Amino acid sequence: MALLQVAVTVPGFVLALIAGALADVVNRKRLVVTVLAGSVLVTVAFAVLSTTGSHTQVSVVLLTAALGSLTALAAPVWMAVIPGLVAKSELADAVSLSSAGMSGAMAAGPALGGVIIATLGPTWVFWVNAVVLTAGVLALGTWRPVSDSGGLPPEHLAAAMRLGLQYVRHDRPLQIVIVKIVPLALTSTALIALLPSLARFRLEAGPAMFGLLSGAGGVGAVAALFGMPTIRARATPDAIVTTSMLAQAAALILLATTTNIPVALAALAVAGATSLTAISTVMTTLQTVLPAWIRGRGVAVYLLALQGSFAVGAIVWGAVAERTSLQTAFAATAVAMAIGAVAVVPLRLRPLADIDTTPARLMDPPPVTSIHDDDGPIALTARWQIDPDQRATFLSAMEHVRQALKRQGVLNFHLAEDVERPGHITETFTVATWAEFKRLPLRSTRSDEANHRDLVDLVGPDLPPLIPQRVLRRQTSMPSPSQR
Amino acid sequence: MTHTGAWGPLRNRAFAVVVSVNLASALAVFMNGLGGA
Repeated sequence: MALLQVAVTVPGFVLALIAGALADVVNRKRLVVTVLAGSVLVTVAFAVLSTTGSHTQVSVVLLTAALGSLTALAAPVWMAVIPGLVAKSELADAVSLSSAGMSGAMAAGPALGGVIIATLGPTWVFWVNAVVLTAGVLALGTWRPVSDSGGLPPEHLAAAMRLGLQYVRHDRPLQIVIVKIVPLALTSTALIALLPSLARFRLEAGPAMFGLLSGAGGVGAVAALFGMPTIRARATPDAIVTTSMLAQAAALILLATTTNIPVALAALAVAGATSLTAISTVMTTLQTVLPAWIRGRGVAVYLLALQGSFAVGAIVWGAVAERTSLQTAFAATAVAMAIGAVAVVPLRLRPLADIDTTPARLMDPPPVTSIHDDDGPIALTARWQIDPDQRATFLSAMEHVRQALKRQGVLNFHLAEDVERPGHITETFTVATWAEFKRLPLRSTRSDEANHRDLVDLVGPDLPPLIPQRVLRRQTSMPSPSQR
Repeated sequence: MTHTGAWGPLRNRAFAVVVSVNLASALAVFMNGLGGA
């Protein structure tokens, strides 16, 4: 059983960054259809082995790992496609629906599987799933996603993964989303990990009552789903996250102290509701701050933080419960959650209305014909002439430009001032390939336009042109003196 | 900003299809896990 757990969870960590890059580089529909088709094959293999009775421990672990890997490969893309499917005004509701559905699937999956196993036998679980997954592949045939690569070749996978990490390093709003989710995930996982023991030993619940207790969180989540449009209209994203975590901490204290089943059911419903309000709020901000071109990679890093925190939290709270008592573990989780809620208050999620990640196409690539898309590295230089008294304002505007270019994949960026002529400043940045340079306008967003306007205010509407130069590398074999 | 209520996005066919398939596949994976165990 522990080996199966490893086979399911480890691919999620190992493949996260690859899956995120794949979601941005390849056709997203083709990726999910391929993954689903692969899952059908693995499920049929499970079904055949189970029907013929020829399954072994090794075959079950291998097939489970294969299914875990396929699920991990599709995880970022399922989330990354959502903003492209709905209007911006519906995004928050779409994210809440998808989160509530996922909580429902987590609760209903084992229960439904249990019913099929009890009535028809274990083999039927696989046959039913094979049919469901095949229906999924067919249903996706009707989906027509739109993508805009600007007619450029797809990014290389390894470079795309590197750029994903570089983006996280230079995007403060994304970092805040990730930091906000960690304390919530680290603590809310305790409830999932400890609920079976709580039900059995503290509440003395039988299997049917355990089902009810597990379902209470789902009921709370659905109730919160209905309330989310009203809550969002009245509170800021930060207020929703903080209040949800404090309310969940209170619910955990109740669970630590009560042996009364109705009270426990109410506390679990509150925990389910507050998990949905907090997680869907953070996820909506995540989906809003990420421009479409990097969304798969950004989501993958978020999922890595989320799943990592879930795993670490489950281990820590399990150990606390084992060494002390269930009550202590629940009380400690509640305290940790309240501290976490307060600790992340200074980090502000950006209000959704302030963010516009629509591509702005802020610069036009210079008309150059003697260069191929794969040529590189390429250095681009612009010569600025500013009033030396405005140097501080210029440097501040250029710092925003530097951060934006770094997010968009520029390798390095620097400014240098002519020692003889104050105010004559050379800006230089390097891109890995010419294709990468051509991608920069597609990666600049409407939110970056403010930097552009600041520069126009300083130097007038005609910004200096960018001059592309091939970066020369040292030759591996030096020419002999006679050849020089 | 206008919104169409908690279920509003489901009126969009592409969203309804993609989310349903995602949930169905997640359900299948959770059930498969149980069958495997």
